[in-house]
Amino acid sequence: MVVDGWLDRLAARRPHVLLAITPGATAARLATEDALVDVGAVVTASPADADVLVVVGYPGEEMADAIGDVWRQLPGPRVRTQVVDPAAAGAAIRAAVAGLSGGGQRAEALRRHDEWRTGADHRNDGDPDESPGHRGHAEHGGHGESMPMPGGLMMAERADDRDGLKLDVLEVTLGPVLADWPAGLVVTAAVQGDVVRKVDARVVGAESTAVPSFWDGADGRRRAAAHLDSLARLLAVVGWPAMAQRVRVVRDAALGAGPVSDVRSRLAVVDRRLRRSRTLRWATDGLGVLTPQMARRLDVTGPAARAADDGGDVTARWRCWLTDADAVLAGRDPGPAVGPRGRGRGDRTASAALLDAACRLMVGLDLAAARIVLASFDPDPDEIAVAVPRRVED
Amino acid sequence: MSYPVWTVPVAAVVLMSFTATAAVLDAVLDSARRGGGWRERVGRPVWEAARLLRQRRRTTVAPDALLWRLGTSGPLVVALLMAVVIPLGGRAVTDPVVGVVWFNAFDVALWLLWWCAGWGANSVYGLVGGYRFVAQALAYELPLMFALTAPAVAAGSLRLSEVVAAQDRVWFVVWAPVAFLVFLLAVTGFSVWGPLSYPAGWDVAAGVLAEPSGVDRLLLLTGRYALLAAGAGMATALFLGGGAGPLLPGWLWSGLKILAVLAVLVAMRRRLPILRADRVMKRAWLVLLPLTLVQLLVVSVLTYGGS
Amino acid sequence: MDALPAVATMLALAAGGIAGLYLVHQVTAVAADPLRASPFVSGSPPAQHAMSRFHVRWYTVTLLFLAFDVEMLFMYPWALVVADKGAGAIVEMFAFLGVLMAGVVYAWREGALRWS
Repeated sequence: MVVDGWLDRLAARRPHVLLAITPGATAARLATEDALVDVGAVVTASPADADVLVVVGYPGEEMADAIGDVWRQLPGPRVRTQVVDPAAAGAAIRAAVAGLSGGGQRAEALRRHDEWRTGADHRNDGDPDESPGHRGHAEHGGHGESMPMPGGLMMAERADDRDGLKLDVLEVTLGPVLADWPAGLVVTAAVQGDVVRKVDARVVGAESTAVPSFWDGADGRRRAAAHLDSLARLLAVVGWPAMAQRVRVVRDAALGAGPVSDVRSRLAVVDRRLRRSRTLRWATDGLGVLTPQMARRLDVTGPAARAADDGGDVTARWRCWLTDADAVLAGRDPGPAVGPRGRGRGDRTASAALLDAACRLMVGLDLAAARIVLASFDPDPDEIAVAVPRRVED
Repeated sequence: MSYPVWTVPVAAVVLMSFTATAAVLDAVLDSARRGGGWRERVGRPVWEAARLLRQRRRTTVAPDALLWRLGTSGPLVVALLMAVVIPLGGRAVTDPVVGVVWFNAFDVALWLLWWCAGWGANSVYGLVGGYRFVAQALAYELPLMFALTAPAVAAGSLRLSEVVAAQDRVWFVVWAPVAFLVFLLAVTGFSVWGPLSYPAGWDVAAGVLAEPSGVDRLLLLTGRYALLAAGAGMATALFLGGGAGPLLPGWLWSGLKILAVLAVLVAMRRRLPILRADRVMKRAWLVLLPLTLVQLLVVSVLTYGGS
Repeated sequence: MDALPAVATMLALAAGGIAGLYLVHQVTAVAADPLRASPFVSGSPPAQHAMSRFHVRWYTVTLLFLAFDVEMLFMYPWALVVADKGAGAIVEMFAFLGVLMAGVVYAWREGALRWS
């Protein structure tokens, strides 16, 4: 139709993109973010709003399943693409955006009606009688309280809450496909209302998890960029996208080839703005306090451990990132073998310790606070080579 | 003073023009890195509308379809119904004796509508977003109500034309600056905008905005900008003297003031992080509410002394 | 114009406009019927229906709110007469508001405004 072509052209000026980032693909992610700006695309938080799904890196089997689930949720027009080689990011994104236009989209839409059903078939390997809600929940059967409901989904179970009331408990999975979330991390949380009661975290691996983290090494600029990358993620989760964007610009400057003095002066502007913001402190003060004793017990090192001596809350941690970023840019030796998140102990990496600490501190908080606490530790899944499940109850 | 019935569509068109202006302002103020000459940005609302008209609608597993539809289209309808009483140059489509209460009643209706928008999809993120709106409303609504009362007390009337006329010498923003600021904050609150977009938080995949797509999403996003526009119109009438001003005709002065307020509201989005309800509840009740009460007391005493 | 016809006209306009937009969307969208898909749970299928007895931790605040909300019923008529009635009306109303604020302070001391 004539209208189609006309609307397509307008719509493609600013496509919305959902990112599915696998562990070990940080370089590809940075290149993808850059390429998205070039085509005027904007990153979105949910598949309902997305036109393009970009898979960054090689997903392992479990991650690929999750990505398939999300892909079925895109309403269409939709295009899916993959970025593995950072150098190819621009071409992949441009091709994806071009694919949004044209008659093929209508033809594909006609074949899709009930993705809930097809998703169920897919998940159960072609057994359509087994509805998806039952997957992995056979243990609920004995309780007698729950019964199958429309769509094959169960109703929530009840449990005591902290005030002694019996209230519904929902099982909510955070990740692996979630905006500004550590790549490949899956946190299964039991929530009542929006209060997190129980946390179970693991990293669903990429195809190969043996690669060293992108951020490791003795390069001061890269170390600073690592902290700024974490900070940008935290600010996005706190709900200050404009500031997160500004921090990402400084991060890219740190990774670029421009003079260090220029990077430092840009950082100083952002630094002043953040430290002066009273409303940011309202959002992060007193949240997720990691005491020095706890830090030692959990083997937490790096900026998070230093922040523990300075109050140990989320505010202390983002301040520590700012201070450290400027210090390494100014020439302080970042240390040869230590990554930006600390040194780790034995076969337990620094990020594994951070994830452990974050999970302990998330319990009892509401979803917003829990996500902010996790973002303030920002474990790097690239470092967590083996998926180590850890479970915390309050 | 009011207009004949054919002005209703005119009022709707005027509101939608301000709505579009708000969307354009938001695009222009975006501090994107590259690809961002202002000419590239002005068209963004058009591209977004085209994108959502092209996009397919979505339904989920066992949604509450009726409430969901109510929640996605309701905010726009509320903004249009608010616009009926907002005066442009001293006159509105209709000018009921309870114009101020009319506005108040509809901003309370938004409690239900935003909650429905979150609840309807049967999605955890949407549900959390919907309840976040209620929590947030508990923080901003009372200060808003008392802020609304201040101009009414000063004018001795709830009729908007009389509130505007009572400002012929001094705009109420001079007597009631706190009420004015509280009002603006509350407008961002019921529009789920900027610092008070907690119900649409990024941390829960955009909360109330997580599930709607296509025309549903288009209506909801348009409703959000329309509420900002209606709020700016009301702020102009209540605090900025409506169409009062030298040389230019009244409707033009009204329009310019509304534009200025709208620009401030839109710009707030990039200035502050989200104020989470659990973090600001104490401040709302122990700082903001007493402040607006003192403001009301000041206005009452000044009004009594001046009469 | 009277309020009722104005409001009725605006409502009809809004309903017509929204219905029109839905009709346009039927033509412009890649498919006219909505796509049924599972709600977004960041990559997993939902384990249960999300609609549930939500743990509203701020229920004590709602009670406080109700007290003030009922008070607003007096506030609007009071606003109309305060200039005529004079100092007495101001003192009475703000004494009443003071009592309510005392309630707020009490609730705050009891921890009703803090829940996380």
